[in-house]
Amino acid sequence: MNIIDVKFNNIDFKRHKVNIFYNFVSMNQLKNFPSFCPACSAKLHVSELSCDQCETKIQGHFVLPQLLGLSKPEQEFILAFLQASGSLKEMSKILGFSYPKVRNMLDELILKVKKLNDEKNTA
Amino acid sequence: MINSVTFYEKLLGLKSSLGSILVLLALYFAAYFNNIRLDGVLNLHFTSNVSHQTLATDLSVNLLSLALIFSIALFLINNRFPRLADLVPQLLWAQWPLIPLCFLSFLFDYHTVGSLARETLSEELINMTSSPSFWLATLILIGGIILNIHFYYGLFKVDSGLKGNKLGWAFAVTLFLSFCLSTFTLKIL
Repeated sequence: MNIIDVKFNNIDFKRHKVNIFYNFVSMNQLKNFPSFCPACSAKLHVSELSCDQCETKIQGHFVLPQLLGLSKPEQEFILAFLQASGSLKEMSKILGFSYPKVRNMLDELILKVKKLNDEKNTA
Repeated sequence: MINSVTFYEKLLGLKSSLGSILVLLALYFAAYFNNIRLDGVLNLHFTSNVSHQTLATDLSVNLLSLALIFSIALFLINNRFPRLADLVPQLLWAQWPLIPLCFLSFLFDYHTVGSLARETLSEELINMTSSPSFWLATLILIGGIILNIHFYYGLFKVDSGLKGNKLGWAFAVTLFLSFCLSTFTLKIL
């Protein structure tokens, strides 16, 4: 709340609105992006996009990127994999798991991505 | 019981390799000083005298049999061979329950066991089976071997990534084949 109060003292009104939005995001950035409906577990899609600069809104049926079809730990695994330059040995050090465990995690992820790809192609 | 799956999931790096060497050395010396023969995977026998050569052969054949059969099984499951740098320390770690079992020779001396092997219906057998220390040692031995199997199971689960019935059957077949190969090889040698 303190951060938002400070930002309220900004001179530019537009800027002030943007700041509130960003502070809201930063305060809640630990929340996971919902890819599946919390009520029925069906896949979600984006129905509206808006520009923070000019407040233009675009409505439509946008499919979420494939990466968002994965769970939060799976996304983190992919990021760690990139950071480790694709080295499973490095990955096992980063994640604190043994090499065979990391290898199996990667295999499961490959299978899931293939499945998502197949779903996307059939849709 | 200790969760062997978590244990193997977290077993990594130089510490695991050095630890596995310590387990091997501890098992070697515990078996040597207590006159134990490890003549096959899951086998542990009390003898009158065991030489360095016999013990080294036992441990090498057991490890090679396990590494060979587990590698083939994991290749058939995952379509790739496991890294020996991971598999060998894992197999050595799985043998730690055998270390305390070697010290059961204090409860259960080889003279009694030797006579049991020669003359199964002797009076000594009756004396031996009626002693509480025999049953205590037998129960501890069974518990130790179960713990040993439990660790092989954890290793196999982590390395294969299998689940459910498939895991159980694949593990049972793999361990049985390792047991047969090591026992048969040591009998020939």
